[in-house]
Amino acid sequence: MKRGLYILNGHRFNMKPNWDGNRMKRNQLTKIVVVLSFLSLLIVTAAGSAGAYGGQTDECGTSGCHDTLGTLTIVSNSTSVTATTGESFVLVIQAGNGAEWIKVISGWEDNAQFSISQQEIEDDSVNDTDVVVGAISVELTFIPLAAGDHTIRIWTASADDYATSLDIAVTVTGETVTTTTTTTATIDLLETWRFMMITVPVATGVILLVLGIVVFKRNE
Amino acid sequence: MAIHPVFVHFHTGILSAAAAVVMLNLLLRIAFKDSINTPGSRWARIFHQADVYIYVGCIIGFLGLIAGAVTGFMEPDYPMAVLEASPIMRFKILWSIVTLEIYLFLIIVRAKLGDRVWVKPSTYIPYATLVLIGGGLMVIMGALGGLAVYSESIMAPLFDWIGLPWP
Repeated sequence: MKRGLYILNGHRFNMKPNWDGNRMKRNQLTKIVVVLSFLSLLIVTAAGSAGAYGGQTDECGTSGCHDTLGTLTIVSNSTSVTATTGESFVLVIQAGNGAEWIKVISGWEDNAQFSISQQEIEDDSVNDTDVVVGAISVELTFIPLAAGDHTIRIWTASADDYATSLDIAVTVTGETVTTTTTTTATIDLLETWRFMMITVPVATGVILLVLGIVVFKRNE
Repeated sequence: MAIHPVFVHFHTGILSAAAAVVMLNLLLRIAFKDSINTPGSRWARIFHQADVYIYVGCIIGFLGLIAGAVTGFMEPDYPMAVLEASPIMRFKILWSIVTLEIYLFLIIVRAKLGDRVWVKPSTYIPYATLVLIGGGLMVIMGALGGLAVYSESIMAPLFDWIGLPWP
């Protein structure tokens, strides 16, 4: 590199700058490799941590669920319930022989058709009324949201690859005033949300567009 | 197959961190204006690197939001009927779109102006404010995702303290 006037990043240098293009490229290559390796490691770690067993995250009761442990138990005081929309009913759920969690996942079976008092109960947590380790007892309150024949699916799991589930059939009658009121309110909110799904992004877009024009005008 | 969680945590963290970094840049820009305008100084280098982090973070965040939305709608446990029935999911979908627009705006402004975006208050104040708003929305949406899946979130006490209505 010749001595003389150099311009680097807008700055003028009269002396030879301490800069070597080839060395910089080598350093950048090393940095890129390190950064890409780190990102790949992060992605692999994230993928691995998404579930205890990444390939077994389907709804329990289907083929993709964790293996069922023969000794892991889950029972309810009733497996067949008749209910009315808007009126709550209580189920006493007991899981044992190593149970660490009871969950009522909203997307499973018809669980979304109910308002559920607790969706997740851990062994020996405040809501677990069974003090024995590996056993959970809990009272869950359900409020049916819509009429029909529904299935509530409740899941329990122990450590490792062990889980099982219990289905409870619920016949909900809904031709009541409560049902009509509840359904109407839900539909109103849904319609409001659908309206906002159009207006809010459009309004945001317009505001940002105006802001962008102002910003660029002031920087001309 | 639960693929959505794999695509949401990474960019949520980056964008939340970008909101923190932009506060650092705001502080440097306002309190140490002379130092950051001195080429080669330590503050100038820190400022420049923070600015690049915010820019790259916005790009990653924009792409991550798209990937998160696509994989979210692919979740077999959460078909559209279930998503629409849940107030949490409705909130997440709506404000994800708004956040997407914000980061697209930030990318365009930063790409067009370069680091001159930090020169005038008329540009750096809206730029920094929108990075903060975007980061805040990402934190809220991440917390709501945690609430939907685990029924709890470590952000709950903070939102209770702020007074945000918590489902």
